[in-house]
Amino acid sequence: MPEGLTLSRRNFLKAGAAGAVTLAMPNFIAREAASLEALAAQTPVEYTTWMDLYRSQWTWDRTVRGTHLINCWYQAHCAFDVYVKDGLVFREEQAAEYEQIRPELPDLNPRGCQKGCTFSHRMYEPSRVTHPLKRVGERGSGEWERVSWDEALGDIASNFLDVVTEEGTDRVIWDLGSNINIGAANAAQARFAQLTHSICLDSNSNNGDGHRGAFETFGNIYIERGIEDYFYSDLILIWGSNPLYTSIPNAHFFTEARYNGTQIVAISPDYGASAIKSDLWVPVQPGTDAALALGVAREIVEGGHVDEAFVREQTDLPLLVRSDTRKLLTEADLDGGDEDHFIYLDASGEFIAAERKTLDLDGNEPQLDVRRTVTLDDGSEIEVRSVYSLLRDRLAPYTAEAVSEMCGTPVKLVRRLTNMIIKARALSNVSGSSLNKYFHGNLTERSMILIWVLLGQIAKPGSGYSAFPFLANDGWEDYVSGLRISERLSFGMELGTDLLWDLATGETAEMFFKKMGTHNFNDPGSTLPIWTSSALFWKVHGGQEDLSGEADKWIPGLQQPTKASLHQALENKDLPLQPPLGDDPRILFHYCSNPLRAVRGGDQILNVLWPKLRLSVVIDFRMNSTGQQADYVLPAAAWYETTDHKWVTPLVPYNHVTNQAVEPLGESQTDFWIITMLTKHIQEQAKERGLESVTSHIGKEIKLDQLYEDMTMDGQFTENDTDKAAGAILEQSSNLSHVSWEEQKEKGFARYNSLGLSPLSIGNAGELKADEPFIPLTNHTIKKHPYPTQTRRIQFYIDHTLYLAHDEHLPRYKEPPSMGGNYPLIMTGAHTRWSIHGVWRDSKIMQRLNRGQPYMVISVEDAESRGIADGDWMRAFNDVSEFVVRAKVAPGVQPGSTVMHHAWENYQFPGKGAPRSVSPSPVNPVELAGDHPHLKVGMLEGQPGMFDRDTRIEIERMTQEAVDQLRAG
Amino acid sequence: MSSKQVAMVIDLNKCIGCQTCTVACKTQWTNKEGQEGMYWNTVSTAPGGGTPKDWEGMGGGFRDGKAQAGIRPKQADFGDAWEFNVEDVMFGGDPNGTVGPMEGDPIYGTNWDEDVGGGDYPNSFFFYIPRICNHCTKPACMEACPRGAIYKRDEDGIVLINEDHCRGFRFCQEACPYKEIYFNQTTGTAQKCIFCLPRVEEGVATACSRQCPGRVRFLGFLDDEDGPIHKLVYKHKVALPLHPEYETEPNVFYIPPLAPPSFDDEGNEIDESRIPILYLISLFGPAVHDSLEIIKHERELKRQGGTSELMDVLISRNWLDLFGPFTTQPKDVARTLEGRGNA
Repeated sequence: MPEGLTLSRRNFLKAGAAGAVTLAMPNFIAREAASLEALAAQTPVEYTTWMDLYRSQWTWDRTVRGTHLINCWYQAHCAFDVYVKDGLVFREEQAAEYEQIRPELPDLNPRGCQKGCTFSHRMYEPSRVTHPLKRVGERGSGEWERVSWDEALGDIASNFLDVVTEEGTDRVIWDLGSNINIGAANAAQARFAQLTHSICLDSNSNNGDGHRGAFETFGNIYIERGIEDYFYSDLILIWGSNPLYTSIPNAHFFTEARYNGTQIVAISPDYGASAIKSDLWVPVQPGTDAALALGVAREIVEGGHVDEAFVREQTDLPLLVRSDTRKLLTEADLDGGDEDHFIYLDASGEFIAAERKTLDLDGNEPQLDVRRTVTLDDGSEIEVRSVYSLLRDRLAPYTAEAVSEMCGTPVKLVRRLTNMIIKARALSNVSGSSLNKYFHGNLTERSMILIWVLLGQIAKPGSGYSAFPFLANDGWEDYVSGLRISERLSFGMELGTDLLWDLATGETAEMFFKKMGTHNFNDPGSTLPIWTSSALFWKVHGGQEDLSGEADKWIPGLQQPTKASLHQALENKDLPLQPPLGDDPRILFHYCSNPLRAVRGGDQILNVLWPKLRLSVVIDFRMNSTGQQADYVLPAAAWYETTDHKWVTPLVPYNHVTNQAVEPLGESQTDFWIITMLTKHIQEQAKERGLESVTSHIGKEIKLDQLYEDMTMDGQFTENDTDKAAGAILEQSSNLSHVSWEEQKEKGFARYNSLGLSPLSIGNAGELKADEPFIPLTNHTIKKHPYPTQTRRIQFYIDHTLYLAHDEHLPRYKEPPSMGGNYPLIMTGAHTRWSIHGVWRDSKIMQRLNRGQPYMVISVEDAESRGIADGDWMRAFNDVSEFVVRAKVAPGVQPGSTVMHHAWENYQFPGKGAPRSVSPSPVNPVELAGDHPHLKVGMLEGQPGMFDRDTRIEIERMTQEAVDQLRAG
Repeated sequence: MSSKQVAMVIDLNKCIGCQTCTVACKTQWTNKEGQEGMYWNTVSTAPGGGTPKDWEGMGGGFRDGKAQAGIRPKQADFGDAWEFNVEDVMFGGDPNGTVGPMEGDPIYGTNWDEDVGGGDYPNSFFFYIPRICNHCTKPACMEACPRGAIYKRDEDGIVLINEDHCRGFRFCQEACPYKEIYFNQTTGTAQKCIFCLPRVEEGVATACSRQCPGRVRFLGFLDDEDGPIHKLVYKHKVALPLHPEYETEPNVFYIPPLAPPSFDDEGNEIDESRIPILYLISLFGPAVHDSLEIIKHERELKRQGGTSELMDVLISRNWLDLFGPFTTQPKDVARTLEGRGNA
């Protein structure tokens, strides 16, 4: 009997044995098996043979649970079954075992996207690095030599010792890409950095994802809801985001909420992928969203729709501002009391210093609309006005007609949107990070938040403003501290005494742990790694500031050259920078990072910084634009070749684990192995040199001759213990230790049971429960904990000198500056559907599903007026630089704008330039206000950003011949 | 006509165009030599060229019961399977080179018109339309095959090409009005979607359905009154076949797309459907009008706080409810038993 039939019969028997136990399969399979036999009677051998080829394509030796340790941010993460056959991963498929948290809410299944579903192929593509590579020609010559790990790590260790002894430990830099996992891999890196006092770059600023508007307003950017919460929304605004591209596994919650009766409004320049799922699309000119938001806010105020109880209690709107100095009125002004106590006028007519320890008004009723005189402590009389009163004046010009002029949205659409927002029972937004990448993105975000706050649409089911999603374990800090893990109690416990003290002074746990984050930048010497802002690093050490300095001429209203402002801020220590200006970096470890692709104006950093470097070391599983210019490329294990876990977000608050399915390809090794082995080489060579220790740049003794013992905690976690270290981190965590590591590995995911204490999560300030979607900020709205701002309230008035000087003390609209010169097109950008960062950009499967080459999407009108057809090559240029790209012509693109999706690698563009080349990314002077009480640099927040969305360009058609010539060299 | 018919409903309001279905199918079935440019599952932006390019003008199918002449699509119409010069540029030889398709600058691909669509700004429009073999009740391909190599299974209505009988005449490619049949130059046979037979015979949903993060695809038997297919196609009459005028009676059905209203310069609403209804009728027939009205009406019921079986089915809060009888988890299927390939 043919083989296939035997199999069918077995199916039949198996189904029979199962009886009618499962409704899912038996009858169908029984029928199928029986009919196969019937068919076989007609066409015997051949039939079974060909179909069995397909059957055999779907066989495997085993499966393990896996995920992808990449920062796909809003959509992170997804549990997969990884299918292994003959020692190779050949496929993956979503595990899809998430349980519904409530019957009325859709479950999370299946979770995954086209990138994740092809990683099994990605990991075996030609760009994979399988052996340590040493540069033998000039940098960028592409001449590589395969070397042993001993040779590579030995040489790097030797250079390391030279640098730390000759110039200082802070000359060694960890350029951390956005793939940091806050698991074992990243813990090895961070522990190394902490033990040697080398510098870690916080890449969030460089990504332009700073959400500064949220930081200015809430004192905190970490605000995000559980994805299921959108089901409780009455109106969802997709504004500054494109979840159809960037939240693929989450997107069904929007389409399903819509079927459930929720309305969706999309606000964007282009009629794009997310707009097609909306009930109303509101076109807006790029960079003018603040005007639209302020128009809505004006109507809320003028129409009497302000939730007065909410803003009295939660915001700075009742606080008084001196008309003479434009500073907030303080207790010190009135009676010589505290300078950080701010004043409101109570309904009783009394001036009251707002409570800093709680938002509870204790029966008081602050007046909102105040304009009167007050006698100061020195006897003088001045006028004071409430923030609300100033705001009302500020909003007055933003009539629907004026707004329409500013943002190009038809008046009736402005009104229609306004009415929908005001009537919404529960209003939410879909957070993205596009608007941050406009020069005035902070003003836009402050203006948008104003809508939610004025309406009291905060921290209720389906209601609230989302900013920056992040959720991490809190055991990682314990692991990376210089101590042995056994020497530390849990992070929070150790700090218990301090914590109580701070609470007594009115600081919440949130403020305390966020302050721990700022210590990593401002007060190095704590037991945590030393961080510095990557944007600042590239600006100062990479020479990017010179490029952005040239951009000054395009920014109206500057008080002084931005470079001078920046250096003043460095000098005043308003912005911490490591190493300081003048101390050149010498070794750059690019750890899952790719700055030569990602940094705006990145040509500059190659020209300015690379010549100063003794070593540029790329640790990655694939060759990328930065790898091409490196001295060493060290092959890291891919995500199905290691056991580890990664941070997520409150949207999907489940820790996700990847298990090692196969051995690392070729000679590649886990990050944990690579970095731990580096300490071994350093220790050995230090001993050979008779070198016991060096003093770090902040005066701490760095023990070089026992670095490996310190790194491994005396052999507790050796280079081969990635799995064990990953587990130890979770066991130390207050929010993930409730499920054992073994169980998490087996299942692939576990739901967090609280926000924990990490400075990267605690700002969400709410309770993470098992049976409801997370709602942020309830600690403030329900428990009345004060916000971590200067005034301890949601704050719209920033009285810092720089904000006053630039007229940004209150939200307002400012036109996007013409960055790059007087050119007719604004080159907006967006995340691509086809890659997470550059990781899938040259994936063959992904490339074949778009256009195989970089393209810029342009409008029909702009194409026609320039004689450009779809698919043509174009030169895009401005005063800064140029690049060559193909045209994609789409009627959804707003005339006058173009859409350039991100993350194409440099080597995918003919010629030298790439889109980042034309973006000077200037410094915004208000971002230098690091001396403001709540605008200090902290973890992922409060740092100068990167801007490319305001970039102006012109485009012109290029002939095929010209492009071929360019490529020929 | 088969005794039973398995069917699929694809909800265009939930489809997000991510192509996870495309790659799920690709890594499952078409990753062998000769299949490089083959996509048994595609997702196209409509309006647009689609796959193969301009397939709707290529004929085939029936009119008034009579077979219609059709054009056989060329490989270029599907788009070439580009190979890239990654190794040269990255590891030597050509470090200043540009990574791109080695066959030259592409002029078409399977998803070339992604997010382009039609209309004029600001009243442009587009939507995504995933396609697989329709496993038609009256398969034109089956009638066209001189070898009798194409057959429709009685027990589930899945249409298959017996690749051992196929001799590569490719009349099926001409006859299929949906141009869902590919030709494998290596094996010399026609190949197409097999409705994941090795999976569904084990009670596992098709890869394109189960791996769809948008939860777009419903599976089941047409006559299963408790299943989602019957409810959407017959009970609520909202799921429609694509191009019913081809007369092959497809067994893949679509929930037609809603869209935000279009507006004039002042912001007055012009067309509440934005996507021209005539265009939708050209795709799904005149029934599309009623289907959209029903969906809007039921949605409004939900908005007013009422209940709607239709909306609940389309939402499918419990993901497995999408798949009718095909709810077995794939990893639980014993595919490592002897006789199953290499194990």
